[in-house]
Amino acid sequence: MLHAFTMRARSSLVFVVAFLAAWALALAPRVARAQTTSSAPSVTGIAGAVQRLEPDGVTSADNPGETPHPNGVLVNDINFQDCQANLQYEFDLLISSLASGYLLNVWAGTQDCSQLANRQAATAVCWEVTNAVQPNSNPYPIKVRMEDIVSQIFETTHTVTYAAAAQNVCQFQTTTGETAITLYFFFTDGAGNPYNNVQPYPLNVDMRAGDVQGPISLGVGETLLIVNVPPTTDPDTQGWNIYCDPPPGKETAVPTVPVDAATNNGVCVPDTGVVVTTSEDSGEEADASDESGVDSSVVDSAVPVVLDDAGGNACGVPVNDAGIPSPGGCSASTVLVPGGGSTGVPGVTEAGVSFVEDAATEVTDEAGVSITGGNMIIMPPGYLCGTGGVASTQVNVLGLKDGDYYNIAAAAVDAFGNVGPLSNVPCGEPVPVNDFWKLYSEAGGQAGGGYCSTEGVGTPAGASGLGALMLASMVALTRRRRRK
Amino acid sequence: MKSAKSAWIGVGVLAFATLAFPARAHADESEMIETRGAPDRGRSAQNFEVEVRAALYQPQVDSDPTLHGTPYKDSFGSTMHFEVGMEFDWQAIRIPHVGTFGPGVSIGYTKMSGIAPRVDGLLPPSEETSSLEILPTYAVAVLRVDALMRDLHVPLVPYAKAGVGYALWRASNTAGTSVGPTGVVGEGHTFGTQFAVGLQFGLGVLDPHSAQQLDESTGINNTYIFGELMLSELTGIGQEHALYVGTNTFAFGLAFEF
Repeated sequence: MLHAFTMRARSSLVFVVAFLAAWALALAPRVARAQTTSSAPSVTGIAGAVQRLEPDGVTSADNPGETPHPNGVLVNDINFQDCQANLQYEFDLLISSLASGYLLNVWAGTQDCSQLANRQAATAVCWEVTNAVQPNSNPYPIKVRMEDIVSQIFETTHTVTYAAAAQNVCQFQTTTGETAITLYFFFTDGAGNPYNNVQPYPLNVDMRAGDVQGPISLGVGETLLIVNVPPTTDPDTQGWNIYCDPPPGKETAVPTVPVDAATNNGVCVPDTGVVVTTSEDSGEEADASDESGVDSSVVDSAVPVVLDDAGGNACGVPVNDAGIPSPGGCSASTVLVPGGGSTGVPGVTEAGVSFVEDAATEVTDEAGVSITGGNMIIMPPGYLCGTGGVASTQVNVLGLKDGDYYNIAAAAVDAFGNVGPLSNVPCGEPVPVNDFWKLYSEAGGQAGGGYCSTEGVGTPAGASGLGALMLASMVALTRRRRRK
Repeated sequence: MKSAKSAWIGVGVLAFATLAFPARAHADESEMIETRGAPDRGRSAQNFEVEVRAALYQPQVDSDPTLHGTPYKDSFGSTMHFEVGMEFDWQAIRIPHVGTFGPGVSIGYTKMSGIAPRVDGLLPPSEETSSLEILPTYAVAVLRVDALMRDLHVPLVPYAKAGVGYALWRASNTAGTSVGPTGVVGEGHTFGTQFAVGLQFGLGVLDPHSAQQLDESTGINNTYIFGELMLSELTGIGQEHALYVGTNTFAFGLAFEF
């Protein structure tokens, strides 16, 4: 009896042990997998503010030298200048369960790049923006170049394998408007599926401003030029930049000088306060002119200058800084090139920004396909001489020198601060004009001087006082009547 | 100097008349002056008048005897320009069987622009603009003889105004406020005198029922159109140098009594 009970218990125990063993064997892979997943690293967030860095890693002052950003520079906006300057983002990623053997992926795209199908799509909806890395700290700082971020936005063919993009990608956008893309940070398993959390970071990219929709023309005025800009229908355009060559205040040092009429082949002296007279045939006052008709006695520049040549004839037309007779024209600008930027002065601007691109330049995409570039430009800031709002059809360029010639060009500016291709480049010459106030003053008028200017003798108790007296008397009358 | 002197005299007479009224009013108050603003014949109280006015304006800059030349005409031509303005009158006193008398103030604005031509006259022509902006104001005593309308039902109200004028002005070009060859800034102010006579036509006669409803609903007693001969002698009373920005012209507009 006891034996039978013992045997039954033993067999039951064996059965239970066998069941438990089988259960354990069946459950083990799941447990193991669960333990593996929970111990895999995961990107859980971004610590602190995202940084924009120069290529050398120094925090960017946000596009030094670029046109002021109409919307203010937003950290997640990328414009042409950002791309061209090869700025980069730095993200301090918060990583949980930091462990070796796992690779961090960073992709950008217009679709959900955590999905393997999107990352492997034939069309460029997702692309890798840096080599996968194995984080070794938490938070983990990772840098992503803007050139890489924008590299395949405007591509049709998807380049799956990461390769550092070149600067020409900044010219790939050929139509205006912004594109929203997202950066994705995630770890993947062996099959390419993301582990745990995927950290997105949204970005807006716009690297192309619009064209000036038609030729510009110039109106002349005294120490100014009036730039007539055709109205725009491009909703991308937010304003105008006007460029001058030479820039105001940087005209060449040689002053405008008069030259003799061609028939005399004479050269007159510079019109800088040097009195030049002759008694030979002008019949005017004799002076100490030498044989060439030149008197080097310098007088007040306000004194009218009488010019004459060696033969006693009146001097002819003046010439501009470039030595071109006036009315003549500008020396061809090497900085302002219609349809593009500077090609004649390659190199680096005062702000350290490269001159790039012109209308004829084509760029080649990563698939080797030649495309017409965006013709975007970065002008040297010193040549910016005027700005106008989008509704402006005239932009005044002030502070110019009468008698000098200026090459003028306009470019559209968009909300991202991109500067579009240059317009045509007309030539203008500011000239003295007679405005009302000048005519009034020259006619002997002595009024003016400001609203607070001192009045003439006798004013203190004058007209305004009488007006006040009148009103006061009215008030007094009424009050007296009320008292009655 | 003569014009300044005569202007002073005119203003003096006006002030005297204004100050003299209380004495007469006091003497015959019970008979001659009604209680101000008292409603009558079912009408709401009437104390004020507002005018919305427009005038043809050509400042008499070139009439300045110290000028040799016609800078205004050379810059802006002989075309008249429009001035728009508003006037607010307080009908402080009602004189029975005559009308109302009281002070009024006005402010207006006008601007004239032209192309400032090149000094050398060559081509291309200048596109720089030259402008003169004037902000004329005045304070006047206003006598409105509305007895014709009130007593005889003739919808005409003749009136007269006299007082002082004051204008702020600014000469500018494309680059901003003009600066003369000697560095004098092209902005300033000018004092002067202001006189006007005019005639108002009461629109209520065209639709008395609507006029009555307007009075009941808004308190506007009368609505007029008016025409006025305006003499604005802004020649710089008491000022050593002044830009003559006044004008003698015809003004017209709408007036509302309430």
